[in-house]
Amino acid sequence: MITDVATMIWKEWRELLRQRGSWKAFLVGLFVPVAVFGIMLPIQAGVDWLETPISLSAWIYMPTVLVMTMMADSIAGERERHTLETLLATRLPDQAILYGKILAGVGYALLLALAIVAVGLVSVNLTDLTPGWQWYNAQIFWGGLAISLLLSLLGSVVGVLISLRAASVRQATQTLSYIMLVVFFLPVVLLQILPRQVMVTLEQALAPLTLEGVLLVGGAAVLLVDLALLALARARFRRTRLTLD
Amino acid sequence: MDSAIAIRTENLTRDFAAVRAVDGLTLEVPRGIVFGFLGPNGSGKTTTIRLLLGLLEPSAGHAQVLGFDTRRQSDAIRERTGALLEHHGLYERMTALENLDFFGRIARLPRTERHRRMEQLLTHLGLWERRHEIVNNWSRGMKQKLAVARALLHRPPLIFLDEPTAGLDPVAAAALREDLAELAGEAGVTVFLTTHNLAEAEKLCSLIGVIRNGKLLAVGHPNQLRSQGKGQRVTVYGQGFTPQILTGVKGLDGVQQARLRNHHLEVQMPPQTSTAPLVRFLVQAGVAVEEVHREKATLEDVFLTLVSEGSESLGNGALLSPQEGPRSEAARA
Repeated sequence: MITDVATMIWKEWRELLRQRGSWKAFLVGLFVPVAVFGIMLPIQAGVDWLETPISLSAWIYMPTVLVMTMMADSIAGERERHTLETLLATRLPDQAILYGKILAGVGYALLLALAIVAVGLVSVNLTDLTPGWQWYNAQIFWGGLAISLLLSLLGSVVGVLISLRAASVRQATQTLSYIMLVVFFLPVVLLQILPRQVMVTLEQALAPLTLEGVLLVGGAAVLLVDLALLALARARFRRTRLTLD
Repeated sequence: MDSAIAIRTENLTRDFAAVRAVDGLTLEVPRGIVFGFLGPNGSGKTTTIRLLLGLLEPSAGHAQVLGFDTRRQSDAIRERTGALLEHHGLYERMTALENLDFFGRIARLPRTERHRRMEQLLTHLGLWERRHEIVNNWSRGMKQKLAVARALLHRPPLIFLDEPTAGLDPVAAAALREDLAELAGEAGVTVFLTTHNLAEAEKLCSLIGVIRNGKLLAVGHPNQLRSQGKGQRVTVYGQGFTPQILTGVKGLDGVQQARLRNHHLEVQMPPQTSTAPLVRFLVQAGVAVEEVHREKATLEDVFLTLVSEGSESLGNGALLSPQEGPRSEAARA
């Protein structure tokens, strides 16, 4: 099973590298997120970038969004390019195909997150005049890494689930765009329409939480959602069902 | 299961809502032969392959492929078979070598053997020099060749080819047929080939099944099918054929089928039937007859007669019954 999953990851990465025509074009495509979140924002924030929880959002948000877009192509793209049936006609077990696709996405998102972290660290140190090399706050670094992993998994599984149902890559991408809009704008809307009393209660409930606590509670919640959606994806990913689709 | 049989189906049926795509298919395909599955578009050929590969579950009946049940042991079937389905299924963003490498990894071929086999197949198909090219830029013929190489990569004892030459120009199709015949012959694999190209079936297949509306109409060796067609084809060259004359010809005694093609008339008649009444009728109708040819019925004639409605006179009674054909063939094998 592990070998089969690794084979799928190998294939997914090969395809991903050539998605824009060549691996050079792929690297150029990555330049924008890395430049914005790894150079521009860290330089603006200075050494605070390594200490503030706000920096977490930078290397969590972008990889999660990108992995969802990548996953939109995972099943719908294979169906659209007529490669899915040939893949299903091989000896690969259903779960190896599913996990291979999901893990290829998670790996891509994590590598992107680490690249943003590393470039951000270099950017801050090159522009900061304090003697000695500055490092990330350990809590932020490890917590961010864990949350990044869990959110990448979430993005990957959601992407696969949408891709499974979509008739085309375009449809999958559109659906994912709507989901992302809801996820990112719903909190803003809620904050504006919630009654004052509810807001006060929420503030009181969250006040005692430390950064560590927020990361732990948030991480546990995302993990639970990950596991539930993974179980759903496993149930939905069936050869006979995919052939009928 | 009899080891001489590669595929055995019994009353295999598949429904899609109200449509019965495969209807009570009972068939045996002996090992080591090229079996041609002929039928018009939408006759159930592709659905049959999907059922045999375990990609679809039958609504009724059952099938065994290489001794494995398609419902319960489809993993074992897919492990031992190669497939070139309706579409070539190549990853067009990847190179030829990467495509084969991926499927070689899936088949768990050791690295050295994988590379040796890839080189062997690509060299044989004349693609070795272009192995590092992205497949997307290739012609359809080259892609089909590569897909054939992929199907044969892990030396499966059985391969499924779903209309492998469809959409190819005649030269590319002939080249692919030649490669297929050579590769399959060398390896001694069983080939389950669906096609509606009768020349292809005649050239490649030692056993042919004809399917229409999901039902198997006949099975037999191409020669058996031809000889038991109990007919002759009369071709009349001349000028002045009209649709009214064609209708009149169809009404003549002994005429089983008639059609106009490129300014000549093709008539299907029982053997030994005199063509004199036909020629007399044509001349009287005003056709300037230049030449009349008589020949034995071709596979195409038999096929067209079988699949066309209202021509039951040359149906199952005249040909091998579906049950009789493959079993007798299997016994010989």
